[in-house]
Amino acid sequence: MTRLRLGQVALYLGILAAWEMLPRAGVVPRLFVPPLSEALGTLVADRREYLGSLPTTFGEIAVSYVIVCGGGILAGQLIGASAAARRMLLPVLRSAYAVPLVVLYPVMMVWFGLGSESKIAFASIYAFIPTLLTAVAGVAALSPALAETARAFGATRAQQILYVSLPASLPSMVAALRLGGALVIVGVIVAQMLGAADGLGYLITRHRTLLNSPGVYAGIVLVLGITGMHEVLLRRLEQKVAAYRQS
Amino acid sequence: MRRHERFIVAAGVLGLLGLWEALARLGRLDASLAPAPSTILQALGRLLRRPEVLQSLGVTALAAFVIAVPMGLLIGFTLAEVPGLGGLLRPLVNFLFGVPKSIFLPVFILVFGVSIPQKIAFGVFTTIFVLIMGGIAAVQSVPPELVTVSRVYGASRLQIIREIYLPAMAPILLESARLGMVFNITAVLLCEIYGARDGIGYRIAAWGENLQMPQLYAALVLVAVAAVAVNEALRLVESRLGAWRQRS
Amino acid sequence: MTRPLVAIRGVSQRFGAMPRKVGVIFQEANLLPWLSAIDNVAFPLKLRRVPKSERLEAAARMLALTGLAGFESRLPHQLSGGMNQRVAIARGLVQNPAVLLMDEPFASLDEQTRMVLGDELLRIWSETRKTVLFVTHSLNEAVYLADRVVVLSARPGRVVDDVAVDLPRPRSFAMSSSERFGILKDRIWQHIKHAERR
Repeated sequence: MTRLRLGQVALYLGILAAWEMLPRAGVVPRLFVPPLSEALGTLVADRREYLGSLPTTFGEIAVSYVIVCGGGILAGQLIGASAAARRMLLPVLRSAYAVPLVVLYPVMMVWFGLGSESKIAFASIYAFIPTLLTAVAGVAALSPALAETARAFGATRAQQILYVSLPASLPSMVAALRLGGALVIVGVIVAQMLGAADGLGYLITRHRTLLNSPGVYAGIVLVLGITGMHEVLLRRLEQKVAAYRQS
Repeated sequence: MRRHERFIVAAGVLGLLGLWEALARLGRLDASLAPAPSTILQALGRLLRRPEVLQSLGVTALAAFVIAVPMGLLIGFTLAEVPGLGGLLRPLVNFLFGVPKSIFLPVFILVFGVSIPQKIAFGVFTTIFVLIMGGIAAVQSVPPELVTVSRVYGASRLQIIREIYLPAMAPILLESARLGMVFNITAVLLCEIYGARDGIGYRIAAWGENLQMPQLYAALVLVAVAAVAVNEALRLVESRLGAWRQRS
Repeated sequence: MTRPLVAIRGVSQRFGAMPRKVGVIFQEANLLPWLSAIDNVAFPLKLRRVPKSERLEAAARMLALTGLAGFESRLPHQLSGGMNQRVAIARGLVQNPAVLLMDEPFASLDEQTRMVLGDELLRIWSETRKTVLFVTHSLNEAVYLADRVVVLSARPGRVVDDVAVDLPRPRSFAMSSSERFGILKDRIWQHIKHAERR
């Protein structure tokens, strides 16, 4: 292993060790940061509770995922192909990016109540614009000659998207998927934190109000695990797609 | 955007608003869910008469910004300039940058309780990573050949920093500051909605709970407009100072 | 390791004192993209803390000399590659150096621009009479521009020939198809061809 690698491994081990030692030594109050082992221990001990929150959470994530990635990518394909559409919509969308969408959650709660619908609605809106922008950029980068060739062979709009534009812009679409997915996960969790009756985010909030530090951290570790796994899976997908295009 | 396209977009937006107004007036829409735009505008007017309504958000966001920017840039510069340190810490920084910060809000409340320091700390936590990445990118964006040219013409170290580094880094630094501010405002608002005793975020949550829809929507409009205004103002500064970046 | 010793006008110079006596022009113009043409030319003077009015006046004169009068306020991205190199040349001249070092300054330009700038350089040289050390890989350029061509071998770089170019000045395009031109080019080519085989 190179020195750099060694240094990095040492760094990570050091951080984990500090997480374990400092709270135990009283340097950091246990309420603020419980020892790592305690947080993980809670995760294992209360695993039924945590695992029980996952079906709802995953369900909400899955539906939002389909809406955002399906809709976002489809819309991206349509908008990205038209220079006029891009000119009209991109400035508006980019300005809209600055709007703190988190304020929409109270509205979602009014419209849809505390159940899954509000989480799905919120996460979908939250993740939609960035995903759309990524998809549009990917399609816009395609050479116009591709679309022209397809039209010359008499392809309909739908065929052109399905057989030409989508495959050609696949790497960008996967990138959009990765971004959208990450935002959907965060959106669902945050929504659950803000107001829910079930779900991982709800669990974290409940432990917080009970001042159950290990419980809070256990939940956070679980969320990080979910986002991490998603990231790894989509990186793999991106690499596969890139390799496939190489051949 | 071409002129006639601007027109189309504007017409589209106005058309939708008009449709909304019409449907609401005709009683086709549930007033408890979607009051007419005119009602919302009235509520907005009343809201604007109390300018202190955005005060908490503004002050907290500004405080967090003022702390996060120098700290983040300093860390970024250090990571980029000190050899070895950057390579060692880079994967960690990238990982932390990719982690969603919002989920850590409960931790901040555990540590600080629901308070202004908590909101500022969370704002700093959310913003600082953007500034770190921006600092690194800015330093790396300085073309080394320009440093060489200035050395050849006898520039001192201080002159190289002032004449080459600062102007070259300015566009990326400004962009990071702008993005950081956007995240910052979102973070502070999240704090206010999640658990606070005042502030526009708290009001929004409260109005939602009490189903006071016109006030709720009015507050949404206010916050959205304020955030976009800040973003566009910073973008203006950015484009002014970065005009030289276009390729001919 | 010995410090590099350079002699200018027979007087050896310490490396640190070089900046003023030598003007350097690189293969890429390397202008500061956020400065206008006139500010780029004035840059070496700014580093030496020459007062603003004085340095802008000197810069304006250099821009006029290099044929860019009227383009003072343009930014590099608004100028062509050839024009940017002219700004670089003006910058190299602004401190009135004894020697101009030019390292393949026209290599990244197209053929036409190369030829135009070559002639421009000769014009500027005839007006200022600087000593110019011009590095090039082009046989044409070497013989066309120089009074003297020093041929270096590939690594390690040793002087393999010192050719006196006795073509009359001012040089013209017609000269480049003369017999004498061809002979000189061929002489240089023999050395380089030779070196390639090794």
